[in-house]
Amino acid sequence: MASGVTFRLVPGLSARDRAATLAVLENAQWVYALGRYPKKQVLADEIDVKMLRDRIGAMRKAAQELSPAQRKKIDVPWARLEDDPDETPDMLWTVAKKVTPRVLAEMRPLVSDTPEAAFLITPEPKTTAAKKTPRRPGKTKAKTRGKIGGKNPRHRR
Amino acid sequence: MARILVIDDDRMMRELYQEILTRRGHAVILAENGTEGLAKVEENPDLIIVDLTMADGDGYEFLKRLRAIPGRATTPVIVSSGQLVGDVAIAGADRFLAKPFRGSELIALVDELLSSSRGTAS
Repeated sequence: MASGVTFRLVPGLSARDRAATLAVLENAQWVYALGRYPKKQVLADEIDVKMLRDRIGAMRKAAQELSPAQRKKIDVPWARLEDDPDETPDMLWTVAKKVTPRVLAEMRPLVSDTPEAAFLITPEPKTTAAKKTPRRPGKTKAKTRGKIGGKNPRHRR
Repeated sequence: MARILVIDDDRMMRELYQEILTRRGHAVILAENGTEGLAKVEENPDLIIVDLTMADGDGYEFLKRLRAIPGRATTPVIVSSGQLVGDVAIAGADRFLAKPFRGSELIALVDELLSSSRGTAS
């Protein structure tokens, strides 16, 4: 009996582009994972900053292996991934937050037919914050529900 | 300070482990694959970290063979992987560390296992 696991075949990716894409994604997921922690916490930790720098560097290196034609096909702000010798931790953070989720979202589907891709991080879709309705002044409700001695009928004798 | 054997086929990962663990004051022994790792078990590590899903897939084989070595049945082992793995206990490991991880997560696991193994030994 055939196994239940199926991989969708994605045509049109050369072996070189496929290898480069997987290398970009493998490094991007480390950057993305770090970017999900609070900025202060990550940038205050030397190891995390080093990890961020190394993985972004590896992402860049792998991205350079992509053919120009393939780079054109992907909607990623490549210019923001260019190497910068004076890169500050804040700049690394911008790459982690602004560029990397885009890299994952755009490039992951390209290799969805490879077993390695099954374990790559999928970026969470952006959620737009719910609009707060401003309170009308002077009309605050008494918060008695559920309180002992309040108007909750379960507390009546 | 402890002696920690790290087995990972990814150079960047080995460097990362070394950086984190040496900063913490541990001595790190590095190996690129399970076979080299088994040879370095001779150096008597207090704890072993092994990538379970290396390219040649010998992380599982390493664990099986490690546990068969006399005196190595209880050496604490952390298995790491970027993939979902089954029951770690079956694989013969003590803890699982999912990749990608933060340095602080690795340190917490290492500290926990070292202190519990020292507690058992005393």
